[in-house]
Amino acid sequence: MFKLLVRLVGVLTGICVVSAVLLTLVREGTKEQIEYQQLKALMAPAVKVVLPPSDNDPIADRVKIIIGKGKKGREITVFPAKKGGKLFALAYTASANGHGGPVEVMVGITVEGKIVGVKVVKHAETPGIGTKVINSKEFMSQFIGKSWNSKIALSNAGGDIQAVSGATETSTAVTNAIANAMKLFPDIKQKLSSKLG
Amino acid sequence: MDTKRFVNEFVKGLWKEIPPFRFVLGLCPTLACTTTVSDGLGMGLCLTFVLTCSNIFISMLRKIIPDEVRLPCFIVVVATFVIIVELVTQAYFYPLYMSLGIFIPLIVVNCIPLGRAEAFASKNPVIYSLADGLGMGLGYTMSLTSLAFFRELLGKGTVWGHQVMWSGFKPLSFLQKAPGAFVCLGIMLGIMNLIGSEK
Amino acid sequence: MHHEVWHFSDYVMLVVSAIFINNILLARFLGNCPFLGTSKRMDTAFSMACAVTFVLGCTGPITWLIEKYLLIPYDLLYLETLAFILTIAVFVQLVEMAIRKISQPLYRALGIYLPLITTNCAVLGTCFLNIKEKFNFIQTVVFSIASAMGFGLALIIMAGIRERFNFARIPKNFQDTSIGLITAGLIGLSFFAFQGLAK
Repeated sequence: MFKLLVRLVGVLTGICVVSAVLLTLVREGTKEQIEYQQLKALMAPAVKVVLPPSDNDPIADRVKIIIGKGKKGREITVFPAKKGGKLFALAYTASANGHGGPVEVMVGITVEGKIVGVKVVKHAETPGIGTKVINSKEFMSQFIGKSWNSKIALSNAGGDIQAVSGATETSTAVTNAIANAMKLFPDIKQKLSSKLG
Repeated sequence: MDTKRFVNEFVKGLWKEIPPFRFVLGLCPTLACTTTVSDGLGMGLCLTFVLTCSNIFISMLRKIIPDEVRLPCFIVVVATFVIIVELVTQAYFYPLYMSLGIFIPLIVVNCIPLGRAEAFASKNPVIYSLADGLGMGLGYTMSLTSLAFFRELLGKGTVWGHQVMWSGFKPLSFLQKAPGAFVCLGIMLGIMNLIGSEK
Repeated sequence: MHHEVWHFSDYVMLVVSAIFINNILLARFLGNCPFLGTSKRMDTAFSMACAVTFVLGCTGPITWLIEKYLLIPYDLLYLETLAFILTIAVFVQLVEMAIRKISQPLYRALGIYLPLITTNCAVLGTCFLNIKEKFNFIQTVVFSIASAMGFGLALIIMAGIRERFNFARIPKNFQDTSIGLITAGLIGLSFFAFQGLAK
């Protein structure tokens, strides 16, 4: 009886161990590629909008940068755009709180610090009101050409961005997200150039 | 190795015992993953991989696995290969992974791998189990692809995403929906029975 | 919808949707093998429906807890499939042993269907859906039970119709599974009418 029990448990355990080892190996082998696929599905449409055409695949060449120190540090994925092997623009996301939760905006910016494109990638705003802002080309185009160190704020907060009427909350969230992204620019640019060599 | 037997074990899955028509198991993906030819083919090949690998391993372990715990052992072996398929499709065939959705992990309970493990691989040598798995898997792939071909052609007017029907063709969108899948499979099963019984 | 507080009416809608609109069997194609296998007689269909409701009502929440407190914290999400199927298999085994000890009549009525439930993809599929739809714990409990009731309802309707097949003249080649599938398609078609219930 005891011998049988040992055999039953032994065989099951053995199979489980072999399976675990095999799966861990496959998992390690595919981890990088899966992350790339998920990012591509999620970010590729936005990257295409915010970055000018480049020679490289910004998603495959992504770089992870840690901003802040210790516990406050967080990881930001930066998508670099290159021409002739030289970095000329980068894109990354930042977020700010909106009506229904965080609004995440991807910003494309040249190495000189000029915004070339913005696109909302994730939001939970009210359909019909908040989405009016997100789909408004007019509103979004106000950010293009702004420099990273210029003031980015709505007109009611002392800036020159005109909110979409009736949707101030979402307009504020998008503007704040972009302003947050710009605050990070010098740090990100410096760390990116040191990583890219 | 007996070559004739090897060929027989392989060929039986392609016609004589072709799943899911003659060997009625694994109906869920047959219904759910056959709206387009690419889904049907993808699902079939995923299953073929799982079935072949699990057949080989279970046959190798058939003298070690005690009878009392054979079902849990089979499940672990099958699940391991299912997860490998899950990871690999996610890494290299992302659009397929997204369109098959939960039906990839559900291969675990597809009944074909477990059914073949119980009925064949646990009683036969490795080489014949390989032939059995490969044959059954490819037979299943053929069934899924042909069912998907009809459903996509008549339900959408396309094959592999390309428009093939004339421009005025009104697709029978019923075939793309859930009830259409049941009816289409039921009729195909009936026709297969008809062909089989004449022999 | 997930960001808001759920009111009683939302739960009612979830139940109605799981049973009638997105019926696990007729619209999501999960659980076909036991559906066709155990719907030949009313009493077996009823036993199967009860057994599935009980098992899913327990394993749905258990797998949700495993996902939340074991797989996510330890970054083991890729083992989800293996963890869930083993949980279901072990649970079903334990229930079978418990029922055999506690009540012989109950064991005779339900016991033989329990092993079939391990490989019922409606059970595993619902566990995956709970995770995919990002339900919280209470929603998981409600959805698991409602989903199983949807399965049971389809099974019982089917058994009622199939009992009549004994008196119908069905072409020989279409008997049994073939006509079963076509009937399932027609039931699914009639369930389309419930789509008006959703806003």
